[in-house]
Amino acid sequence: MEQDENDIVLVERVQNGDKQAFNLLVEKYQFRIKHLVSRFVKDSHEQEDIVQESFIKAYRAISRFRGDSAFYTWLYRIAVNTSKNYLVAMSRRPPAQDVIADEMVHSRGAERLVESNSPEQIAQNDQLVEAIKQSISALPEELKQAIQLREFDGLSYEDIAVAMNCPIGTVRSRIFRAREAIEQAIADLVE
Amino acid sequence: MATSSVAPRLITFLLIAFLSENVAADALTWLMKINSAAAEVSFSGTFVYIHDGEIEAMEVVRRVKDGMMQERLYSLNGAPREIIRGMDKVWCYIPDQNVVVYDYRQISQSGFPKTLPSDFEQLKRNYRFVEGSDGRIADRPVQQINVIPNDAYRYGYSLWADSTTGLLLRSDLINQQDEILEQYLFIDVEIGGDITDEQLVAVSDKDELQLFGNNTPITASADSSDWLLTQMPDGYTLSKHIRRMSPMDAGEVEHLVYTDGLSSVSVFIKEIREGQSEMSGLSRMGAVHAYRKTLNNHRITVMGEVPAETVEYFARGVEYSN
Amino acid sequence: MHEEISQLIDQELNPEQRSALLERLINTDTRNNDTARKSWKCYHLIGNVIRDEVPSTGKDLSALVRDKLEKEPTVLAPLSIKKPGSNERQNARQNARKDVWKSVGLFAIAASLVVVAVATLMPMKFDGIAFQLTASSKAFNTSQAIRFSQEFDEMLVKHAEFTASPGMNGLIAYAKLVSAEKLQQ
Repeated sequence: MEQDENDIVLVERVQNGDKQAFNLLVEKYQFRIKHLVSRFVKDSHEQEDIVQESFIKAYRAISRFRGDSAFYTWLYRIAVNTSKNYLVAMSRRPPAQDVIADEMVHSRGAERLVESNSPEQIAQNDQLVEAIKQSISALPEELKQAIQLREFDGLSYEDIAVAMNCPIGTVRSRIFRAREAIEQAIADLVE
Repeated sequence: MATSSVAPRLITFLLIAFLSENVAADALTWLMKINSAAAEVSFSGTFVYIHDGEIEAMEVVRRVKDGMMQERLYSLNGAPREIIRGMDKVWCYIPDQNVVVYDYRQISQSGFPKTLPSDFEQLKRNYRFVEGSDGRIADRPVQQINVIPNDAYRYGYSLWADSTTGLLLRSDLINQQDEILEQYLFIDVEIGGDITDEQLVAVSDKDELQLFGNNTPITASADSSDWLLTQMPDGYTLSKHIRRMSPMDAGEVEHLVYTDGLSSVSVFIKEIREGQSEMSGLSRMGAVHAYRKTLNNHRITVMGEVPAETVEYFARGVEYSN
Repeated sequence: MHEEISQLIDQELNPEQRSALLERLINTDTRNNDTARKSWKCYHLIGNVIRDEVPSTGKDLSALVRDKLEKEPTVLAPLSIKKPGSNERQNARQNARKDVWKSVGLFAIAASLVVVAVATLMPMKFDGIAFQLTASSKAFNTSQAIRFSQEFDEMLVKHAEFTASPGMNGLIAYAKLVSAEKLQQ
């Protein structure tokens, strides 16, 4: 996994005593971490506790993060260990697939492969996520394509410009307009 | 009825007290031996310093001659840097940054804080000393001594001393959860013998480096203060009170050092200037805790290799007395 | 502003713009309902949804974590761990090198060795100085955190000087200073 430059800047700030910078990392990664934790623990409240504990543990250990791996990879390990410890404490056996999960961290999007969306979970999918999904599918085609090339395929603006045969400035504005439209569509759901 | 049950208990108590006093005496003897070895023994060797998941290896040469100590410390991994402690000055060679800097030795002119029996009395009030097992470090027989704090306001130590000379060959700093916070460990040591002058000379070429230094001792001891410490954890006493200029912004800093014989806490008091950070509260760097607060337009920083409660306790006690 | 956040997330800003914008985001008070910070959060969530990285319930936990964090001691990385994390930082240091010497010189004139030793022994010091210097010329940030860190380092050295660990007697204080800079390149 390649280093995210924003993460590097933020982690350095945290290591220099800037606690506030850590909150940006929490806001950025909380959903992904919770998604990860949900593969170990099914109860939503328990997941929330583990997510919070994982971030606090990461903060306490931040001086030990030296950028040898991506920040998310490091955070991922902490969350996996916190989940496993939780299961041990609850004397429940960790699911067998956690081994696979460990192996999977380096490939982008690989978490989908071990996702086990039960019907109940899908039913539980909360409004916010649903609203985002809906507003994405309601986007004009060129905006949808631009943001998917960026977020799903991980292409740079330059590559997207080639793929969509348009100037980079147009890519930048399409992606932003897509995000802006989605944010507006879900504004009522975000407090 | 009552007396008959108390008496055996009293005897048991006295017996235990006698025995533990004896054990403590042995461990204390070891501690004194460690202390005098540090002031008297010449040696050369290599040690590792483990902290925060980092490991550093250093080469060290120390010569004690006619009551004066000289020392050379040289980093073996990463950028080669060295420190020479001479008769009256300390030199730091930093070839990777192309500089050498020097200053007067501040730790004490002779190199060692004189440890008096009264210090051991103070120590005994704050720690228990328990002789551990014998073992082997750097191919030498060693004796372990555990230093266990009597309360939550200090950390403990596990020390391993060379059986023959008392030279400290391993030291672990331990918190209340029994976790090791940092560790020093000799992996190779030669004790005694003649240390030549050459061994105490920097390998870095001074002529190649830019020289920066301080030619006048800058710290002065302060006899009066506008600040008052109304409370501190039991067992700590003031050992130094200094005033100096901060080179960061040329502002005056008052520095008070408190010690319980083993652990030390520094209290820094400095006037707040425009645009300075206003961070307050508790912070931690490795084994060091710090607590900051603002009072009467001054910033109070308390720090030490002590638990969080200790620095907070001290900080709460700092008051302006004018 | 919000278009810049979009670019920031996509790593399409140059280093100066990135630092300046992150600085702004860090210093926004989330309790004030700042829209920039909301967008930072929302844009990342959109990416999570597109990549199917969302949990079954998307409850926002950041406020809870923030409150817990408030109660934690502020963590500072030990001197030997602090290092330039990216090439841009290193370049900034290199460019500032000349001016850094001026600063170090000033330090030395003003001051005690130990602080200069810190300024030079500790990579972070250089980072700090580089930060401040580039701040005046470019849109680089001079964060309070960095200055706090420098001041903390200075005090740490002063504290270490007067601290005699058992038997090691000052050796350790200096060992901390000589601790090597890791990952020079």
